[in-house]
Amino acid sequence: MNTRLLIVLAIVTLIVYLPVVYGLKDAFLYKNVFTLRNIVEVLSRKSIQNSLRFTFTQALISSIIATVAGSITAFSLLTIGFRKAWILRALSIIPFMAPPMVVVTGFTSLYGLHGVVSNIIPWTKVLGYGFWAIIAAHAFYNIPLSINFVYSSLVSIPREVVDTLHVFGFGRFMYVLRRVIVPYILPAVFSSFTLTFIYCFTSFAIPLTLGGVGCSTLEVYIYYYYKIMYKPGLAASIALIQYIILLSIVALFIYFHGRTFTAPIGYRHYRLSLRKSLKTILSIILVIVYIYLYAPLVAIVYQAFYNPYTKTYGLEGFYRVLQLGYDSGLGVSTGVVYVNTVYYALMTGLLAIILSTIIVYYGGRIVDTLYASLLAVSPLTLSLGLLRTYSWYIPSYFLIILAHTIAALPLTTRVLRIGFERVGKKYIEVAHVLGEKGLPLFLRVVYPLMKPSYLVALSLALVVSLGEFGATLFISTPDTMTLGVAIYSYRGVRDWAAAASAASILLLLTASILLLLSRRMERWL
Amino acid sequence: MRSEYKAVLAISIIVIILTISYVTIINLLQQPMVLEEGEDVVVVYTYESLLAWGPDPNKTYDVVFKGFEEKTGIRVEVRRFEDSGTMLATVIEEVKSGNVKADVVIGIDNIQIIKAKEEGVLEPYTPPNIDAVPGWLIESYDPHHYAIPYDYGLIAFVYDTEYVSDDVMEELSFETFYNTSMASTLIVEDPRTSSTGVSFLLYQITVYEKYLGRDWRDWWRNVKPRVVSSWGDAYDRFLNEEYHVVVSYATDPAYSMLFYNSTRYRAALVKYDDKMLGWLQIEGIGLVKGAPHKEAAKKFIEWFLSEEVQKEIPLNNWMYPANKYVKLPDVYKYAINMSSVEVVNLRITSEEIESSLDKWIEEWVDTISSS
Repeated sequence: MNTRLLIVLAIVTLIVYLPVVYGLKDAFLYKNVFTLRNIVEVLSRKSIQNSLRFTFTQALISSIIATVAGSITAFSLLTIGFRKAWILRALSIIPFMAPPMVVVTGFTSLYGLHGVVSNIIPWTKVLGYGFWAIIAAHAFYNIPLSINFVYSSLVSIPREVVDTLHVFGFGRFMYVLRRVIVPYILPAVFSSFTLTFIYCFTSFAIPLTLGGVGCSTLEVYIYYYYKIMYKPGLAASIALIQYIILLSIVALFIYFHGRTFTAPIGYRHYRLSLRKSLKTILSIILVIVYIYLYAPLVAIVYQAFYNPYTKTYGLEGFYRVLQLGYDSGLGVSTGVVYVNTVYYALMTGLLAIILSTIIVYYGGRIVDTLYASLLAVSPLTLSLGLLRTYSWYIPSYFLIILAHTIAALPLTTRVLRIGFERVGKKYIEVAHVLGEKGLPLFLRVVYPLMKPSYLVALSLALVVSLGEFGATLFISTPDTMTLGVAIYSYRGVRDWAAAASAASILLLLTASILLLLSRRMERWL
Repeated sequence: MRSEYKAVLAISIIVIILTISYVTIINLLQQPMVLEEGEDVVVVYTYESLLAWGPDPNKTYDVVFKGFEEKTGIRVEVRRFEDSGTMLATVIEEVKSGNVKADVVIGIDNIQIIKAKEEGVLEPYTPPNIDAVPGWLIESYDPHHYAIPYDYGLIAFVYDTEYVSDDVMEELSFETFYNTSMASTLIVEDPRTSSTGVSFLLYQITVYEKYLGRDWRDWWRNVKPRVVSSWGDAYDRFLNEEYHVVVSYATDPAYSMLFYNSTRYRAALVKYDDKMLGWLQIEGIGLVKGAPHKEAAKKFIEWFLSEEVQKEIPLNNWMYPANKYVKLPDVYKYAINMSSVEVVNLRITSEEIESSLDKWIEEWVDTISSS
């Protein structure tokens, strides 16, 4: 069975990586001749050098801020108790998948020139435009990641260790913090830092729209050379440079992730005895962070009822999005858009779960690195590669599912890897002794123990598919459109209310999935 | 049966059931095209929002595409793309790999046509009704008929009359924005990510270099307008009253009159020697090289330039129709009158654009970033 599954794993890896190779091969081609000319040219361009510098700086600062804020929030979550924290924690993922263009509009309506918040607190205008606006928006997207990574690490600290150190430290909280909590959670903190860095490095719409021309990431130039100048050689060269830089960051991610401590099944929660004043401060931080995370989402829902042309309120946006007939703004009937969205999400969930299981169960660090490094591939490069490699044999709806699966794999693999490590070797060894092996061992022993982990992985895969935008926009035609892409199309025909309504429905769907499937996610992400 | 096989079988059944249900539901919703024996077909590639801006876009779709089917008996298969840039990139890929699927492309603009010709993805074709298209329009777009213009529009400064006075905009020049208070009201699109942004940059370069004889970068250094990634984002901020002048299209006032009965938003062009100078964005329809259904494609191009289709352009694509015999709707009196505009495109050759556009955009980034 092992060998057979390893062969499957090798084939799957080949299928997934072939488009990446196809997407990047143009970097070495000029007039069909192998050359390094494209790479030399882009590296010598001042605009690319500036962009590289900016991309790195903003990613670094964004990741530091998001990680620090997320870690403190995760710690604050502990103060409200484990039983109540799960809802807040499950819902904290929502900002992570909100559509970028709509979030930008939400940010502007809150912190822009005439923003709701900036009118009351003038200094918050700095979050509406310019360098710090980019950092603020990136923090909005990535604080949820840190919250989840660090929280799962925090709750995994064995109760015995905390209790013992508490006695040694004569009940001093700072002693426990320094000697137990920080060393335990540090790998998770670095792990979320590196992942945030990768996401911010490949960010596209947010830096450009909130920061202006000087704030162009490499992704902007990849888009420019592909779509405006039609110079795939230069676009692929930038994508290749980006890939090489991010590959080293991915290696760091895997390294830190490998050192993250995961509590075995059956461990008991510990209790922290904090001073009342500290507890109050942490609760205030928690409230501020959640307001910060949810205010732009509330702004999106508000826009769904508002027509900026007539300055009036109404339900026209929802009428348009909820009628299921043909919509010429989309070029397809709205019903098809919903069916596509749901089908892609289900298939992505299924594929990502199967592949992650094989990777976790049979793959090692190298396979983990290979799959995590898919994060380093620009969505534009990946989608172009998918089209070039498979569009002749595979229908476009399946290409989209493949793109969604590739986007979901790094997250689902992480969740299942943690779940698998928590099951512990002794259970598997006992099962071996009792004569179980291969798939029966997995189905009868490992899977039941990892069930919550599977629910979390499934919910994440569904959420990633619902929110995926970059690659879908490039691959989809109206027939294969998703709700996420429809938001973009509604904006294209000046129907801002419909765009915000579609975004609101998407957010509602995500929230429902997270609440339904992630009831027990606190210990498994 | 071993449990591994059971698991593989169960997963396969789930995937198959999901996919069959999906395909069935989509087919029920879409009513896919089934060709009868001997029936001809034409495959049309276009962008998503073509003719989608009118009061009844579904009716327009029927007039244009179903109308052709009824008239000729040739079925039309339309494949829409997110934008014309993606469409062109796909056609280039398909032609280069020898896997041509499209017969006709609709929506290649006057900058994309340069690349389309260079890549050799179009085949020259002169439709029998070409005389309906003014010679000057063909001349500024493509004299060699690799594609034929079907509509055109002007890039314009659209302004909010509640904040900006008509007097200022009626005497507009690029220098008007040297005034800091005017500069702070202006929002434009990034040429690296927006075709409207590319057109505006070429408009400004042509006026500065060919009319005023000045370095075009001076304007960007002095004005430093707010730049955003797309037309949608710029217009969004304009409507939300963050900025009061936006680079958009000359027909926008007609659009807001028809849909919102409002004259609040108006359009202006820069003036030079008492003439209004405008940059034309021209969109064309072309025959794809190696098209599988060439004869049907030719008939479709002729149909698209006919008055029956062209009369749908003004209120559904918000551009001026290329067919000179089409009467403009009344609401177009709110748009800029084309007869009073000098088209600046004629002062710059496509060779100049092809050889310099990348350099200009590089210089533009430098100028904006350092100022």
